Amino acid sequence: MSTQVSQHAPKAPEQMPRKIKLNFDPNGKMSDRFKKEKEKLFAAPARLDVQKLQIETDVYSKWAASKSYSEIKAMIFDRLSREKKVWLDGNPICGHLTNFIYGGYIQPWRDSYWIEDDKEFALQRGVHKTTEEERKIIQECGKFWIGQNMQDRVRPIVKAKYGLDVQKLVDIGLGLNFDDDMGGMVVPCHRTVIERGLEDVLRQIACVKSKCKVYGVQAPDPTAGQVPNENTILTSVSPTSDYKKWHFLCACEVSIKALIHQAERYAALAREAAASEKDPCKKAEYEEMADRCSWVPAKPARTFKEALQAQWFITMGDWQNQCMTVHHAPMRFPQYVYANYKKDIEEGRITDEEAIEFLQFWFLKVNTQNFVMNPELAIWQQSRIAQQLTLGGLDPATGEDGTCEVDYLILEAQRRAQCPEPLLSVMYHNKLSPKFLMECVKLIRTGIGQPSFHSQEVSMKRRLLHEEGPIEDIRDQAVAGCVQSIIGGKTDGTWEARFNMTKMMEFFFSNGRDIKTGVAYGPAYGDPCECKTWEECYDRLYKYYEYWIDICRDISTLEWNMERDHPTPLGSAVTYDCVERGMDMVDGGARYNWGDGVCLAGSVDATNCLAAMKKLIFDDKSVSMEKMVAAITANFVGYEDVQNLCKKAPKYGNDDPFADELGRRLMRDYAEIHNRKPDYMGRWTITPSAYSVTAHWAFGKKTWATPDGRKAGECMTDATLSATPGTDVKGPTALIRSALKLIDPVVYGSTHFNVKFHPTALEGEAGAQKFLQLVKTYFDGGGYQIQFNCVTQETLRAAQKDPDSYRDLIVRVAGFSAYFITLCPEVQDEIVSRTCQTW
Amino acid sequence: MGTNELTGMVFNIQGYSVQDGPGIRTTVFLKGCPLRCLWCSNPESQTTPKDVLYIRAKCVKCHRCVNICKNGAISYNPDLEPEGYVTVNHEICATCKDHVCVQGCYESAYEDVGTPMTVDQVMEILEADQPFFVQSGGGVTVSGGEPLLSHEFLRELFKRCKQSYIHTAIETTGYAPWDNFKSVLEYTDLALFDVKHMDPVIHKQLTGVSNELIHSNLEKVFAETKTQVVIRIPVIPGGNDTVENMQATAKFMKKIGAREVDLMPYHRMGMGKYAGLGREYPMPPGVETPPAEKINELKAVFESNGIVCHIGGNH
Repeated sequence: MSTQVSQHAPKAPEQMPRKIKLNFDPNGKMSDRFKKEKEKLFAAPARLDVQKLQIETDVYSKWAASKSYSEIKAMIFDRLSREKKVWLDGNPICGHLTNFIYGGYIQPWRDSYWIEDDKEFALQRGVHKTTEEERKIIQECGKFWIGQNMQDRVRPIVKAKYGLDVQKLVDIGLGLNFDDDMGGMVVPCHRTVIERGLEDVLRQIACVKSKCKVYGVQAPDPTAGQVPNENTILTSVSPTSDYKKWHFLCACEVSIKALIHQAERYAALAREAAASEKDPCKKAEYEEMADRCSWVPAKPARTFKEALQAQWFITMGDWQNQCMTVHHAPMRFPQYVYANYKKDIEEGRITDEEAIEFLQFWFLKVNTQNFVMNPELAIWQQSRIAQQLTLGGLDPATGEDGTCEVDYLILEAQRRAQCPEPLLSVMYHNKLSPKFLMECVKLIRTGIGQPSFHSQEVSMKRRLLHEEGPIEDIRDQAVAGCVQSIIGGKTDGTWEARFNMTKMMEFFFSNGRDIKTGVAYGPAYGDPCECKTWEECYDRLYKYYEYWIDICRDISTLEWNMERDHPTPLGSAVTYDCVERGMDMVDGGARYNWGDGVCLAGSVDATNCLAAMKKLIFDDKSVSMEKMVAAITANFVGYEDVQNLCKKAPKYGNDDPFADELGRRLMRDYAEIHNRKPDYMGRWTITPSAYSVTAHWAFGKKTWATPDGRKAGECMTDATLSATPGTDVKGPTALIRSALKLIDPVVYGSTHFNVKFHPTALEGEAGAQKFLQLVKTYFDGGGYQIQFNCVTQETLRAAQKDPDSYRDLIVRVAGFSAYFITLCPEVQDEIVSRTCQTW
Repeated sequence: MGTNELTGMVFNIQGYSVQDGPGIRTTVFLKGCPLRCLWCSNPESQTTPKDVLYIRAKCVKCHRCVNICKNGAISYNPDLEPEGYVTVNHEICATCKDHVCVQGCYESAYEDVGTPMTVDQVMEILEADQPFFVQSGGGVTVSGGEPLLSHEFLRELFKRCKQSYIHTAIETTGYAPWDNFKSVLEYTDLALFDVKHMDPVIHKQLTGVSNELIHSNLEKVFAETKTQVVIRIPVIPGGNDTVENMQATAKFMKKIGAREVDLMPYHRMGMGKYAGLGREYPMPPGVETPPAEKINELKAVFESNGIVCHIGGNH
């Protein structure tokens, strides 16, 4: 086992104190060229690309018996890099993920039960209807994958061990993504590609290979019962025998060379285009493109534009290997390209306006990232690919504010471009300058919902709770996943299933049954009417949580262990310390471990359920347990009086200790139950997670009536700290105080808090300052993540048409605030007309 | 009555108020007002007793409330309300202690207006919001209604605020006996003082009372207290929005030494509440928020007199 510190580990560059010098038009708009390219991309039809499916099926069917999993993955990528279509378009950054402007790959090794019969395939933006020819290919290949994909391998074991059908657990809304959303998120070191170049990685691989003892003996595997100590730096927790390291390193070499080959194909195309181009301007541009593609990603980027091209090549290549929401995000991108930007500016090679446009062209590339989703995933993933781009943060070396000019340029690029991705997020700390924060407010005001804010301090504390590491690493926090944080470039990315908090309420009232179908799942702990005190009631509920959280953990652990058969050699090659350890990140090759455990949704709904149950049944005794059971079972039909009391019971979000304390207790218990077991490789770095994305909608649809007054099938509450619409009647300061109590974000790996604002609240400099003071108070109080949605005219118009979905929209002006939907129509119109986007 | 038993009839406590004084503020709204301004956006604040607001937008016309109300305050008359809404007799509501309609309505179409709260109860909320005050230089603003109607409660509340280092502001019509006013100002850092019209006759037409007491109080605030004052003028189209009136106001301000004014453009957002209280909206139909050019014209009047003028309260 290698414990030496590699000479290639990135040294944090010495930073001079930064003086922000900017030179762009703060009222600037999209250039005509960019606008045209943007329109073209977003109008492009969603297409399914079956080429990779054919290659993948072919390679697996021929080589599965003799090649290692790493080598197979590399062979697939190698063939794809040679065989796929390459072409140039109006975007000066080269490289297309698939054979189409907006195309996606099927990943048959995840799950494939649906691909044989489906004629329509959902991508993140749009649906592809297959042609006859494509159908033939899909069906042909699909046959091979039946029984071979992850889902088909996991489910029989779960069935045999627990008697549980995973699909049923999804169908009744107990959880999601037990085995269809996995696949090692890669959070690579972009610096490796930009500053070192991939040829340097090849040299490093050769060096490690020269030291490999191919006859080495494999040490006991932790999954075989031996649990190793805490994960320590440069110490692999899961030793691998040397011949496996050899295979892994060879696979890295093949993958890197394949990517360089793809880049060279683009260089050749651009060279050809330049040769036949008459327009001297265009000719020069083609020559520049050729120059860039023949230099990066093989060699260190020399310019800002090369840095962006290198960044896109590695992202595109890794997504060609494996695609998934959150996979291979830009992370602390401004830090990675700053040196190149600075040099270009100093040497007069680029202006800020040019940099902004080039960044926007890169945004377009990010917006071509997508994948074909299975029908379950398509329900809730919708249009997200969560390419989080972290702004702000600390300088890893000095601990000073890390914000640089590129942070500002990105905010400005997005203000003008309004692209759904990348998702801008700010790593918030007290050294951020007011100027920078005002730029953030300017973007929020446009209604795009970006940037979100994440606490640097909480992220660091969270990491320190679990890992040892030099302070330079601990400071280097990036937002990753949906609302989590990681040390970019040195961390593996595994996450577990998603868990519905309110389903336990249903099981409690029904004695272990899904009420809609009447079918029993798991244990039945007895008739709820046996509970004579609140504590008995809570203990009973607790037992359901205990059983089902454990089940979710077990299924996830099983899934992840099998996932080790699907390594990611290209991503691992650019993630520290996989090459040094000779191990893929799925085997624990990365220096740190993300440890994103089972993610809960419905925390606020569950809190409100507890509050209503305790208040009505045990404190006020206004509803007997018998009557509550009957009311819930009847979906409140004929029990509207009970539902009314349930709705008017204390609710989270008002700084009411009655509700908030009950919720806090449940969240603490959840974390405790969750952390009783290590992750799939025996590591105790695993943390519970808490965000909803759109799971609150999927879970709500499948969950029966709940004692907070919600009827069966109704949507649950968004995020995990936002209040149920219409129930937070005390305003944002009370809501924030509640939010600071419910979930401990140091113990949890994430929290998720969406707050809606009418733009009048952010008007003018004073409005913006007060808004930022609100944010700062939240972070000073120990908050982790907060995101503001500034409503737009379109939102308000939608609210007028569909008031029920917009119950929580608050409008405030001097001495007055009201829920939008309760205002009379004339006044609503007036407010709509006041809400304009020209700031 | 001991200070512990003093209560104020609170009809709303609004966190993150950003237009009622410096910083992030928590505004406490007290019920009861001697004025009846035509444009009032909080009509539920005008009377002192508890009341209920009937929110038509939430009503599903089930008419259960007609039977729930034991005092016969709610009735349904299809001739009066052909669309199916109920009629609420708010005079009866003012005498009702428990407002069962609020708890009883499944759609939450009734809202309590007015909860008697002790100084301790209000302080608990203010102290919880203190981190926001400290961060932003904010504090508490008591508004109404006319908060000086509850001057004993208010004085005690502000006294306690000062003990807890909370910045205090009052938003007032200025219409109260001077002694009451002065006793509160002893603990008041900032007064947002409404000046609605300089002409006593028009003032009475617009608000129901003459402006003499208001203007004499305003002079005394400057002469006898240390409280900072910002003058507030609601800009009411066709009511007080003439250059002449603003000129007269500016002259008066200069005379007494007032240096800062907020122009608060008229808005109709309280309109729905009148229906909820079973009352006619007193402003003539068709009056809309004054355009920016108009407001800027009036702003210029003050600035030419050397007075700092803001539009709106968020500054």
